[in-house]
Amino acid sequence: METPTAQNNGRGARFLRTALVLLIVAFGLSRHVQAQLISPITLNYSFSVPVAKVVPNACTSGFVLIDGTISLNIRTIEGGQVPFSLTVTYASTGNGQDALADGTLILNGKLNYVYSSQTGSEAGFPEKPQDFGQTVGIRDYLVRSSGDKSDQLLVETVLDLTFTNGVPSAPVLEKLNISCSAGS
Amino acid sequence: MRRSPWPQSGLGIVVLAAALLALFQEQARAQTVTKTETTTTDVVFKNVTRCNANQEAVDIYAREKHYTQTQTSASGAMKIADSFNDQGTGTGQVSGAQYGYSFVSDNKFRSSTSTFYVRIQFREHLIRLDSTVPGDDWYSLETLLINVTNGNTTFKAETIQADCR
Repeated sequence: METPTAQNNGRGARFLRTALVLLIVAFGLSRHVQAQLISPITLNYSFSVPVAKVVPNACTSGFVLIDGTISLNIRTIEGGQVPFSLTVTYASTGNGQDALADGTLILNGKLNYVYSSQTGSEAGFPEKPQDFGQTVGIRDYLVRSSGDKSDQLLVETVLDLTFTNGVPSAPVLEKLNISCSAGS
Repeated sequence: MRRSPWPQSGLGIVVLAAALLALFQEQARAQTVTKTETTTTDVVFKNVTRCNANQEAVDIYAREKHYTQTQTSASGAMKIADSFNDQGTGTGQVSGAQYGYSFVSDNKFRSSTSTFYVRIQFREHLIRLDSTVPGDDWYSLETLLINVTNGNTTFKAETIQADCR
């Protein structure tokens, strides 16, 4: 028969063992949670901006109907090598057809313009900015599909992109700048 | 009969609020610092390989100008308007063939923090400067680093590579 003192000692030992196990589990969990907290948070967004506009042909006296799309892929990373960073990839494709000022297509014996490009930008911050915005030009060279570069056009599509607390809003097409970039 | 004092008090409050608002706006304007700078950098990129392995490598010499207007508010928020003027020539390493490019690009940035960086790519059209050699112009992608530290902006042309798309 156990004396009350021996019973108390047994309970104390069990209590100590349980407390130790709980402490170890809690420590392990906190490490796990901490690891989750410090691992980078990556978010991806994508937008598509249609471009359809009649513009003056800067190489000739005519006009060109531009019909294309700019696809934006945006990635934000919080807690990576840089505390907060955002990367934007701009991929644009489209074509241009000779037209009148009102957009009516014309046949002048020349093949249509085509274009395709990919550029990008990246920004980094010491902390997630409440507000960040960038207005940048995406430069595309419109070349006749025949390869003729004698009336090659440079089209700069100016897009405005705003991030609020790291989240992008839909890009806004501000303007198209057209110039002649005739090559050989 | 005594008239209610409210209409007069209300008018007084509106006038006072308008005066305070005007004062705050004036102070906010006074606390915004605007700086205009012109930076010119001569850049050399040696041994730029072209897309086709049979084409010779090219050395590129460029003069890059930035006309930058920076606005910093008392809160540290910033607006940067940069006009980037880039003119360059390329020289074929073996044949001495000459290529030229020139462009202007306007870019704007605004941020609630006064320290950040932006890395941005520009496409350039290198035109063969000899009309008797057709079909030898090409495109490049230049990466420009814009560093903003406590409201001070610096520019660095980092790389140029042939754009083979």
